[in-house]
Amino acid sequence: MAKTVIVSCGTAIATSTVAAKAIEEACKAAGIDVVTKQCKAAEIKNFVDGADLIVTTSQVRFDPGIPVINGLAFLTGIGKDKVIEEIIATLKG
Amino acid sequence: MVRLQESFIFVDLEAQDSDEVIAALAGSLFEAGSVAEGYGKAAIERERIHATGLPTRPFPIAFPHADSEGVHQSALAVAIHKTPVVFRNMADPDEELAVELVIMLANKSPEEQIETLRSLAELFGDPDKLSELRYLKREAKIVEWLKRELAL
Repeated sequence: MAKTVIVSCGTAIATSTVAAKAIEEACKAAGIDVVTKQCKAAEIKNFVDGADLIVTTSQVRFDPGIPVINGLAFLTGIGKDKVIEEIIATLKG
Repeated sequence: MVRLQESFIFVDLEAQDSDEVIAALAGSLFEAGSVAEGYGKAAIERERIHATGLPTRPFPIAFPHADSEGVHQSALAVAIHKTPVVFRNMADPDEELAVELVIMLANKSPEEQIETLRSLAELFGDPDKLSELRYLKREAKIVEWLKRELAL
């Protein structure tokens, strides 16, 4: 079954689009079947059901019950490879 | 298609705070007809809730933007500050960043602009390129450079 990754940022218009695309490509290369769902930070709650992982560039202020990884690296380029590794390890785990 | 022209570029901008920077950039887009009058206000409000400062190297940047509502035509506007202006860190709003370069994004359709967004993210992640852009100093050069680097 495909893994579902929630990708969120402030307005779901720029950051999450870049991050979602990068995650899809990295997972494909790693042989992981993945579906990304983009949303605004405030909407994460509505998407958590059935999701495996949250990648966000803002803070998550509640316990979503699934892993949360900071995706700022997709914009700053700093530590991007490490974040991709972490995402893949989490989804494989 | 992303619009970029000399009137959208501010070199040595003197601004007291991030509101002023955002207002100046959005004002130039409004004058050219790329965004509605309220876009600047929306971006300022958005910045308060979801900061857009990034701890990039060799200096922090910010890329303020609002919802696509009010965007008539996708466009980029750029400010290079005379002295750094405080923006808050996207990942940690309690952290203040002394931002030297601001790229405002008016995005009509994220899906259509994916290539531009990715080129921008690549630029943000490249310290040498950011430095190059920071010190170009002339509006025409900046437009030409960005069009080439972002394949606009």
